[in-house]
Amino acid sequence: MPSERKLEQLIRLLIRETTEGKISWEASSPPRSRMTGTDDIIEEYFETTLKDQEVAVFERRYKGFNTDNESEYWTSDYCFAFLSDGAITWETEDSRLLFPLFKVAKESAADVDGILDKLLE
Amino acid sequence: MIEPMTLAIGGDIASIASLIITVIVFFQVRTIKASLLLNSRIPETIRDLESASDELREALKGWPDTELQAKATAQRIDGILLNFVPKLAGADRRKLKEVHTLLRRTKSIRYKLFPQNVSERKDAMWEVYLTLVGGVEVLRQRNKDYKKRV
Repeated sequence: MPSERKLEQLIRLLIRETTEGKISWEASSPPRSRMTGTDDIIEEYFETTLKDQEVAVFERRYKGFNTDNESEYWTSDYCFAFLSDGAITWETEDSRLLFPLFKVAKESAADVDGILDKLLE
Repeated sequence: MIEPMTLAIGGDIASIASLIITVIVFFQVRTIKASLLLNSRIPETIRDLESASDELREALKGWPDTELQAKATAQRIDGILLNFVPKLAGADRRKLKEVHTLLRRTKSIRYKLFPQNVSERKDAMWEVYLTLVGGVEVLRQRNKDYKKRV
């Protein structure tokens, strides 16, 4: 398990560089290996490259189970992953900054600022 | 036959015990009420802080032209936190208090703690933004857990 501090530092860097337009993200599909043998639903998956390292952030939707009233419910988590040759080599959900990163990655992939600038020209 | 003295002592003990129970119940009701009020306020506070953090990020994009806008947003965040942080406890309180401290630091011109050049001021505001979004996430998780319990 890599140090939490280093991971947070990296995610902070990615949020800042993305906001400042120094890196951009692309919407993509999760690797097949990630989707095999699981009920997870990954509809939104974004990738970028930082210093030759491919990284991804995505929303994982899944069914949880409430033991109190014995019922199923839908929930989601945000994940961050390192990739190598298109396959996920490591992933984590352990950071408070994953949702903010997901949000900026989604904005970057959709080129929200570019579209707004174009429409308002 | 129970003696009147024994009955009197028994009565004293029972009334002291009932007083203690009343005090405990009073504090428990107060805690439950505070927790209910806090939990009902959390979604609204999350929305406010989220919208303020989005504004702050927009201002950081256009730095230094938008520095004044960032300061105004920071002031708004400060106001929300000033009211909200004292009601929190434990890790939630620590995380949001950190934002509050960072905001205060960016304003402490008198003590020469205020970063002097543009890039230092930008870094300080980025620190505020990143700590704030981390704090909002803590609140979001707390809200999610609460909803699951109810």
